[in-house]
Amino acid sequence: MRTSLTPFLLGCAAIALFLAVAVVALGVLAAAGGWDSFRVGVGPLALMEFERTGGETSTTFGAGLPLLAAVGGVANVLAAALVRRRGGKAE
Amino acid sequence: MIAATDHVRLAPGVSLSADGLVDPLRGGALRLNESARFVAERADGRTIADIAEALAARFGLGFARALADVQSFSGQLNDGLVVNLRPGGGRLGALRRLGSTAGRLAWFGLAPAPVRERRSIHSRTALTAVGSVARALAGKAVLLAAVTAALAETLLATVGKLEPGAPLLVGAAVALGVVVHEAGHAALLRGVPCCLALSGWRVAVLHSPVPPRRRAVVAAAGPGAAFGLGVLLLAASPMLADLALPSVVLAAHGLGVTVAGRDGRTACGLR
Repeated sequence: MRTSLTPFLLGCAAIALFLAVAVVALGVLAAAGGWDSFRVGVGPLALMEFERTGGETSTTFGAGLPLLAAVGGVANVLAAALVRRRGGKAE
Repeated sequence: MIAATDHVRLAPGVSLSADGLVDPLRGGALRLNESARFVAERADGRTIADIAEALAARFGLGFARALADVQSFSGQLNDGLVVNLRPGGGRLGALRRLGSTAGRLAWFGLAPAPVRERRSIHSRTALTAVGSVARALAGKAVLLAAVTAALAETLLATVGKLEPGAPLLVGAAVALGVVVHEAGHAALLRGVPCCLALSGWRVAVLHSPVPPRRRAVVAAAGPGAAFGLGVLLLAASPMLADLALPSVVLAAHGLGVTVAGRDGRTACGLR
């Protein structure tokens, strides 16, 4: 259990924190650069939304961020299992 | 890749005792036969050719054979980070030699193996450890910043909406990220014998064995330190938007705690 929990938590945290920084940075660049409103995501699943209304701007995290983080955690668990199997490391 | 004019010296922290070559990082001693000890005793900055000449005279060998032996032995010790090699003829000569070797090997689809270098980390306190990492990597960091800035200039030109100084800041963030990353590892190795291992563009902190939990924390500290600096830059970016892109570059180090990176594999107990 613990052999899977550590890679899952590290994978989730790494992806979530990196995406959060990237989203905020993109928002800052968009606000400073005078970009129009836009949305980053796939279909109904948004990663972020940037809105410019009049003189104000806002950046919103989408529901896709935690989902992508969870996917990253699962991918990390699978990769860890693969490394363990190839390296012959006991569980 | 090792030339007769290269200078060979025991790596920082390594010493020669009656038992052999003692490396505090590994513990124990690397046992040597008579000729190997003869070479190791002379690894004090002399050239490979000088040592080969002495070896030939002492053991009655031809110079060519002695030279080949000293080159091979020095190469093995360098692989194990027990000796450092300084190119004869300076950096320019080494670069010329690297180019010529790379050209020859390219016909066979091979690349020359980079010479490894070990630099000391003074791990008495966290501050001295960070200082010695910064000093050891300063030259490489400046070069890395320049190369990355040039690449970023080319890539970011396609975006067109960024400030002209953005490539420089990205270059600086890449270089700073490497230094802060390694300093993050070193800061948590207080009191543990450790060193920096440089091999081409690759940098790593090597250390004596520590308990598994501490090892995992040390591994995560490198990506964590660079990520933390990225968050600090991001916090300042609403005042100076140019810092937004470098903050992402630094934050990307955080991905190093996944299994895709060596630090992540260590943190997950896979190494």
